[in-house]
Amino acid sequence: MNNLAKRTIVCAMSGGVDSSVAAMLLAQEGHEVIGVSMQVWDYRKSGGCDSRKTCCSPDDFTDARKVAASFNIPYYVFDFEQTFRREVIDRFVKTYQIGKTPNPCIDCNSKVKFRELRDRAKSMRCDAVATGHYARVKKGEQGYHLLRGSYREKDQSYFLYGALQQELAETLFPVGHMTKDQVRELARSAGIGTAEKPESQDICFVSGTVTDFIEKLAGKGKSGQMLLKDGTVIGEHQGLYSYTVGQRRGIGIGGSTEPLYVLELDSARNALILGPKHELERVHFDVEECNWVSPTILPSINAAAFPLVFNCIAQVRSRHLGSPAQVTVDQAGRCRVSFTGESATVSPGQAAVFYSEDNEELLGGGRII
Amino acid sequence: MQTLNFDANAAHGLTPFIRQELERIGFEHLNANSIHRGGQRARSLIEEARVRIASLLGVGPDSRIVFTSGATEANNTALQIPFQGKTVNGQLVTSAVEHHSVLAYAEALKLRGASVSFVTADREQGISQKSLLALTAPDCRLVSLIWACNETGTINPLNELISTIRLQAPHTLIHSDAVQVVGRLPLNFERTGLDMMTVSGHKLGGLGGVGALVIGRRVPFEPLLRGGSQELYHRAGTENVLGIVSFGLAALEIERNFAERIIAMRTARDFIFSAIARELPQLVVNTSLERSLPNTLNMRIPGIRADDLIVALDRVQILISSGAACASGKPTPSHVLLALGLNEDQARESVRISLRGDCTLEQAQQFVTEFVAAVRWMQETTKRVVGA
Repeated sequence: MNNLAKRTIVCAMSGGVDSSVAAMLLAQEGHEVIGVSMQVWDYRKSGGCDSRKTCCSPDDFTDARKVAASFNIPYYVFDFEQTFRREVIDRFVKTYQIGKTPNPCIDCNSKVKFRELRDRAKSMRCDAVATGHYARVKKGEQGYHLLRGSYREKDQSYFLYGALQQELAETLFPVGHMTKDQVRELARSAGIGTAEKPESQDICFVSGTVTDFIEKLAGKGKSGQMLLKDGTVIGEHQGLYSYTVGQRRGIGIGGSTEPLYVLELDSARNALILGPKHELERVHFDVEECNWVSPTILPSINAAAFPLVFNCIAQVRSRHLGSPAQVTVDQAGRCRVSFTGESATVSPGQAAVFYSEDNEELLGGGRII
Repeated sequence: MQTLNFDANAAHGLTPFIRQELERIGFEHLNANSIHRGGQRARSLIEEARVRIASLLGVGPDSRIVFTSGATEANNTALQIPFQGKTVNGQLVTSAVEHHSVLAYAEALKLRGASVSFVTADREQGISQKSLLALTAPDCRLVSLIWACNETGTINPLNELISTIRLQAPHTLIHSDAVQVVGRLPLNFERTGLDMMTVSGHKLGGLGGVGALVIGRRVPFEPLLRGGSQELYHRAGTENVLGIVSFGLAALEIERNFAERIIAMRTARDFIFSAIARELPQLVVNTSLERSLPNTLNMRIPGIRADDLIVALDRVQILISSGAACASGKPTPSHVLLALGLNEDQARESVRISLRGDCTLEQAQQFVTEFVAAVRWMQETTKRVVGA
């Protein structure tokens, strides 16, 4: 990226402090910045949620609009409801219904922010799309490398594993090298009103419980049995979508000598399988729908040099720190992951994302089966 | 580069004449109800404006122009007149293609007990007489129908509609939102047969924040805002002197060259339509141009999203819209276009071009050049069909 060249950049603005500062930095560098908020979900129409708790509410747009105006950035709200409904919400509900735990932020990034927004940016004659993500893109000889944010505690690269090379080439993360405190400090000194705004939490379009949300969209689920691995029936559940593998509390069973965890959501039998914690740990697991990001790995994938074996740090949840693992790719979209050090709990439906052994560069990722 | 406003149905913008006159008159005005000379001056400015507006609108001595904060307040005021009290009864007839200030108030009246009927409308003919006849009850309290649609520009057959109403419900009050008609069609309130009519200043070249409700002699008036003797107890609240003055100036300016202005708008609008149709044969016009306001063109290019087009043209300082302006800035498919039978994708592709009264052919040419260039760029860069 040549910072000296003036570019026309669409900056996704959520109304939060990160994207506000991202837009500000680009404007200060002299680029022509166009601020865009994505209307992805009409809370009043579709969910009756409390819009104040989430992003994309009219309040957030007002914040984004104010920030844009203070830097003389034109600002527009784009209606992405159709795409978001199709690519994120429908998939979110469906994944829960088949007994898996989805990660909608990943779908939103790859299908909405990087695909749809980029297409729209191109139709406006823009060169690049910027977001307030804590991640970095580095141009190398073979292509573009997606790196973790410089400060690990805020790193958001995990959510970006769906990125394509062409998208990385046209993507900017202006705050990717900063800490949250630095971002807030910049916002404060520039008088940005959103400087002290709290972090958005959890899933932006769900402000109540996930269970309520799914029931509102798809109706109440079927109750079924809660079983131990040996088939002992120990209770009844109210619909599998209320549970996540690895979950302990909220099962509603007391009196057991050993605490019980959700081991499996068996959608074929509509059964919830419970067991002690140690049974959750997985030494290896399979991943599908892989996307390969790094130019260090893409040539082998494109040459179909399977099986392809490499060592990496595998991160299996957004807040997981990552564990050393060996990945065996047997076809472009599928692989087996074996932990080589400490094992971890994995939830089917969540993303497994692979980083270089120094835990710096995102190599690729996929969905845990 | 000069900004070109092709979104005049949202706001016209000050004309050079009005700007010059406002500067001459001055920006500081005292309370028109004060006894002192400062108050007297403000009062006389307001009354001068009222006379100018009455002249443009053909308002006779027995009727009244009540200034309001805008057309929304005027529409709300008109609708509440026959529906007083906490719970109400009786029929309100309106249409599916009204402005939200009528539709939302109608919904509120429905919650309080009124029976509300929505007349259907057609893309070519406008509001349907047949539907109006079928829905209006003999004891209907109020019929409120928009004269020309702000989004499509379609002119409704007001004379025929009023005759139909009178045939069916001789004693009902009849109101029309005429905001988009003023200065674009010949208009004489006393000859329309209307009881009430809503107009707005900033659509004509005046400042924002002023509208008026014209009230005929047989209206049993009830104010919406209470608490002062302003407007002879018709509308409490200190008058917006400067806004009212600018409204009066707009009326004066329009009346001075009424016919030329309409011909100029129609010529420029028709030029835009034929020039774009020549360059982009896939162009679809959503209405019948013969039945549209001379300044309005609602159209779509299949496969091109309206909001992309609006942003692309905004970048070259040409202002258009996809329908009624909305406070959140959120683009939603127009309720009017959906009511007229367009599907969601077609509504999302539709843009509204609305010309100022002083639009020139040079500006129209510049518009066409930029519009065609933006569409061509989009067709080349994105082959995706909307909603695919």
